[in-house]
Amino acid sequence: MSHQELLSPEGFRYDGRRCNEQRNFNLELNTHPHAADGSAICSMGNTKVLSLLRGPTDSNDSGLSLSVSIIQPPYAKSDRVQVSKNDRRFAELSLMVQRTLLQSIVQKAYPRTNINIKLTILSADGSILAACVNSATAALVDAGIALYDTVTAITVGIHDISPLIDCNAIEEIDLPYLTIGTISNSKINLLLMESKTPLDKLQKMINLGTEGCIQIRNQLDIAIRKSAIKH
Amino acid sequence: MPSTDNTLPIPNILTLHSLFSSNPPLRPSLRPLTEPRDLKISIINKDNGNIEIKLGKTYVSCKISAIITKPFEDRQFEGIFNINTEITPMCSPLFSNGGGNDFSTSAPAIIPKTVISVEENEDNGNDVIMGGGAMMGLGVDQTSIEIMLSRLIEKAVRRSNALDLESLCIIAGQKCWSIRADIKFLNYDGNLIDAGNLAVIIALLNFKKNDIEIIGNGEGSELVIFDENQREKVGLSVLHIPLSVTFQFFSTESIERNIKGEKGVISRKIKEDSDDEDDVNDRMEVDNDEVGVESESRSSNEIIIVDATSEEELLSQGSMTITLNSNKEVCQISKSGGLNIEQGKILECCTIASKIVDKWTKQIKQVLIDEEVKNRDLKIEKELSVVNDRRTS
Amino acid sequence: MAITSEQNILKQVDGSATFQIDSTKVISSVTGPINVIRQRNEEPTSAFLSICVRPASGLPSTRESYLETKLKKIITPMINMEQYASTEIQIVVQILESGEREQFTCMELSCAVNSLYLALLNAGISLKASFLSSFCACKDGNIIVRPRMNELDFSTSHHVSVFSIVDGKSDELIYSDSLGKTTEDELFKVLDVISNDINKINESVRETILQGVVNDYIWKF
Repeated sequence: MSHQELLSPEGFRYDGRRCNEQRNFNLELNTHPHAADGSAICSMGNTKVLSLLRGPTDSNDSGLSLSVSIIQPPYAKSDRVQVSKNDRRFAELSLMVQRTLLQSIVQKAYPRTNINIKLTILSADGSILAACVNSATAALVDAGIALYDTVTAITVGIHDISPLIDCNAIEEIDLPYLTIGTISNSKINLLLMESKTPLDKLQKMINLGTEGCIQIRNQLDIAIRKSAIKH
Repeated sequence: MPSTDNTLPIPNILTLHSLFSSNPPLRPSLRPLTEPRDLKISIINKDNGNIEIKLGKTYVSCKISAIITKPFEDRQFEGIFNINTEITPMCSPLFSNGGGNDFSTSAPAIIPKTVISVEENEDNGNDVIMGGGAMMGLGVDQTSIEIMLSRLIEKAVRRSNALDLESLCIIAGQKCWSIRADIKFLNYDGNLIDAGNLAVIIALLNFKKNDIEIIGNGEGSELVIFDENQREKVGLSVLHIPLSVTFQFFSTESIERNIKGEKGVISRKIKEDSDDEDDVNDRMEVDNDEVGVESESRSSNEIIIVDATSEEELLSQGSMTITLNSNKEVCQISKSGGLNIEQGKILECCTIASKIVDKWTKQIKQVLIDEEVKNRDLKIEKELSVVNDRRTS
Repeated sequence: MAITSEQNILKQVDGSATFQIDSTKVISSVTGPINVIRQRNEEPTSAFLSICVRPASGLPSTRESYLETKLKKIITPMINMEQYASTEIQIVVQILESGEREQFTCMELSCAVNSLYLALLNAGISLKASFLSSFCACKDGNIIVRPRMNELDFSTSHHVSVFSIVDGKSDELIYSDSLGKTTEDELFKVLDVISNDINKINESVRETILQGVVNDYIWKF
């Protein structure tokens, strides 16, 4: 895949989007009312993450213990590769999601409490971490856990000089990309970049990313309200 | 009877106090906030890349070893490069063998409750957790520290292609070099990530492997490995020098205010007036306002420090690691949870990191030049120069 | 062959020391007595020794566990274990440079014992006796003290011994480990040779300890 095709001179991306156009974002809350205390499915384009939350339950630890695990079943990707149980990448991702969420939970309201979140990547097409964070946040809201505010995340890639929001898997392979998560006030909570990028392009990416996070936040808000009316 | 916690947070009160209550904030060591500690590089064994570095009191040793193996099926034209990081109780009794231990009991919270009340809800950054875990009873295990540490160093050095893997290929699909870096953390005094990263890169730059040659073609070809007496050893091709800088964030505000921003400030102020002994830090906040250092529009008062010591890490409320090289390319950024930071501050951190990386890169290069001068074999050089000197013939 | 040693290098642990013979370098750390970390290890009448050996490169293997058991056997009778009832003494031995091939352990074992002795002293753990170790290789009736890597490769047998030190002289045999074909005669000769060599090592080690005491002495004039 050449770089030309990722962004055409007319400003269209490989899948026909514009630079600052998100993929179809869809969030459903309370998808599994019997299986979990809080559940949500978040889809960003073809990436789909299901989160099931159990808790708050009693624990022996003094504070709140939040555990997050991410599972990627073989059917998530077309090559059907089995992700090993102690895959370091997924261990790191779940750690990052856990720390990000922990910051938004009103911890003093949950002493000696366990909250357990299981994230299942139903289908992977880029922006996995972002989708996991969004989905887990929605699950927390669905379970009625007290939050200071919601954390939303999105990815930004960079093609030459134009930042591309919400990368899919093809763009993630070829372009350097950044996952950014913000909490209200556009304060950055989560930042992850694993590929080489010139320093001067970072500003552009972060700017677009925060914009994108606000968009996601609005959509999350709508989804929450919708589910609140339904129940 | 002494217990495991010989890193008791008694000096932490000093750290906390000097950071939060002085204006401008000061570190107990009086080191400027964005100044890293002294980096000492000692090359133990020139050829096998055995080096030791000291970043302040953090003491890391790294050794490189190379063997010839078969390349991976899916990467036939590339060599193999592995980084091994392991934490033992040697670097701090807070760590245990094999990990998976709960540190929540190892250090009692000696800091008075009023002082830590704002950080009570914190989530800590990388290495900090274990301290934070110990003090705040978060019970964060060693495994997560080890995962973060090894992933960050691996991303910084391996994924940024610092080592040219294609040059390690000998015969495509059959033979390649497998390079292994073993990082040993000997003494913990904060900032294991940066120190580990520095150690690997310096070791890679120093390492020399035996020269090899393939004799013959096709079926009957032979691989000859020369020892150092036959042919001089060759260095690895290191494409760029990525170096990590880890920032630690502190804040005097409560978590609500950090998240909610402005609105929180006003409501807190009213509360402040009514309830004086509510929160030491909040009061400090108001003091700052009176001094007028930062006006009402002040939206954040995070204190950002680099190269934290263990005490500072214990108290930190969040961390971020940025890996850069001297070409101003960001190889990796990682921040998860912890204090929420504005984007302006993040870019500020990048500039600071870039300066530090430049400084360290210069120092590393100087060490390499010095080492070369020291190891120069005058006799051989003379012989070589005679051959090349046209005037003698 | 150069012997270098240093005490009190690491700050977070109670005692630490490096010991280097030729190209083998070992660093040890001792923390203790501390509360027992895993409850099931607690012994009501004596201390629990947790020893952990880490290789110079690669992951720890059976070779390291072998060294761990040997070290435990050597160290346990030397410490006043009863004095530290229901506590743990945490020992980490990190091999920084291994001057021998993988199939041998004699250099590493000997250096580990010596560095541990210094580290235990540094940590202030009560010992029953001073002890030091040395090793040698035999080939065709010749005994080579502290052999180099290739001398070890071609030897018919190699021996590691630990002697206690009394009045600055090696005294009683604490531990002896031989591998390879050897005769009774040779073995006794070897023990003699090692005992003499330990006297030499002791001179250098004593200096290190003296230096350590001077450095630790805080009431300087």
